[in-house]
Amino acid sequence: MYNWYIIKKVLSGGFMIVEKNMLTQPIIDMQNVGIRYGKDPEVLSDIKLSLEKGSFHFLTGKSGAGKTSLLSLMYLALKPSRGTVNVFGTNIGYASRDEKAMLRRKIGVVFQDFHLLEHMSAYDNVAVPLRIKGMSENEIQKRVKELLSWVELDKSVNKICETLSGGEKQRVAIARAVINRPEILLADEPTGNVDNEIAGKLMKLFVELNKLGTTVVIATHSKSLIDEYNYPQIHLENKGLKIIPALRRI
Amino acid sequence: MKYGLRLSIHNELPLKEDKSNIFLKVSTAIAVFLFSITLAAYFVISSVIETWNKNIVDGLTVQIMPSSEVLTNEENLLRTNKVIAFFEGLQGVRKVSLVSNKKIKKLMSPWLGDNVDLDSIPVPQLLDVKLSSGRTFDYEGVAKNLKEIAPYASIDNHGLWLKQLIKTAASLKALSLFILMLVLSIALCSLFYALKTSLRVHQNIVEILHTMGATDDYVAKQYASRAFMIGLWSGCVGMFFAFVVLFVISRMSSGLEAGLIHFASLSVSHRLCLLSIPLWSALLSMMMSFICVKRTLGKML
Repeated sequence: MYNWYIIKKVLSGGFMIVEKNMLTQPIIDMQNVGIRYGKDPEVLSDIKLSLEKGSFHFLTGKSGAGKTSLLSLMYLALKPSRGTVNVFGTNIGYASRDEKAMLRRKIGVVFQDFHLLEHMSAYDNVAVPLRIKGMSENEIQKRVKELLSWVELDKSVNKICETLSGGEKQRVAIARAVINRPEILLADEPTGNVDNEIAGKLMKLFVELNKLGTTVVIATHSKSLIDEYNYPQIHLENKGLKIIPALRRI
Repeated sequence: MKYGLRLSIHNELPLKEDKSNIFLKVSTAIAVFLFSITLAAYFVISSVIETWNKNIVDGLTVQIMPSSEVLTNEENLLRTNKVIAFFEGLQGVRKVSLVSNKKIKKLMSPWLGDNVDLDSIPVPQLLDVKLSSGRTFDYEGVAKNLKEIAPYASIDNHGLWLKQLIKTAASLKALSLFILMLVLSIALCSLFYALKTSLRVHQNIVEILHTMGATDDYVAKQYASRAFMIGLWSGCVGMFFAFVVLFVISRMSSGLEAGLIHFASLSVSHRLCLLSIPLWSALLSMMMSFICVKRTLGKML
């Protein structure tokens, strides 16, 4: 019934399995989408966006342009006021709550303000997506410790999140977003609170994940980041959207 | 199982630190206490009504009035035996027995005191007549025939006065049932509002969990687990105090010779039912929490 392809070994152990037809079908598809809050005017109007699997985009635009709203739509935290949104081929307007939960498990999100469970340790925060998925504690322990070590938080594994610095929280949030080997990674200003060295390392992680098939969308204001990594941009302006292709480097 | 009763091992929601916990614990303990007392009263009234009903159907008392003339023991015995023989000859009579003087003395002691000499006062003799169950008995016809044979004897039909008592007891039973429902409703309302408050307090954590792919079941199970523990703990506390009160009432009522209400007369099944209340309190809290949280989350995006 399905043709399965084992793509590549992801992160530390394990394999990501992807349906063949998903390689051609857009992973996120928006048609004539509008977003409004309450009775206010639309924040975004007539959005048409199609993201292929394995693509990498920066999401740019001025503050208040609707970047966070568009990301919320992508991780199913928001319903469009009009138009259709398909994620993994599922029209989210018709998806049940449980179906949406299953779709969200394939999406990793890094929030600008981290959205960590402040009363829990760094370890437990990163372990949550795996626990939700029902993974065994042995496997969770192995994966979480390895990833926390990779983001240089091995000394803060058992620290309660509210005691961590902004940069440490950022890394915990990123580790939590990627621990589940997501098919889509959405990040809102992921390098905003870390130094250049850590920022470079995190971007390298995103690029590696992208090479393994993860679709990545990073909302950022950082011109240097956009210039350095040279990926296409989804630029929001005047409630609309335009794609700015990556520059060809000579 | 759609509404899985398994307890959650996860605790991303800091429900142990909820300020509503103490309110929930106290209100549940009080509810269990009131419920236990009322249920015990319900059981006692039910068994008393059952006994009284049985008495109406199963027996009657015959009173043999003492003669105004001075009779010898043999003559007295003859009068009594005549009535016994009359009843033994009737269809539907299972057993006829003479109530001993000792028992009559015991029945009269609340009014006459313990040191009464029955020989010195004209006390009627009593016959306890047991009837075969399931047979109708013609009280009026028997009373008429008895008057012809032994005009000094009369039938005391228990049903005449017991029916009034049964009616009153049945009203009490209905009242206790109403109180049970009331207590249950108040307890469930308290639980409902505590859950609503808690969900509002932890809304941001619930949203984070949803973002990471948690289903409503996953969140609801955490609430259900906590509610189970609170229900069990508070149930045991409420039950303990209820048993203390029931014990005291039982001790106090054992002094009443009337024997109308006896908590000690609770059957084994009734006692087991009372003892299981904390478990039911825990299970009900768990189920209600699960359903309430799931329904509330269902209204969220």
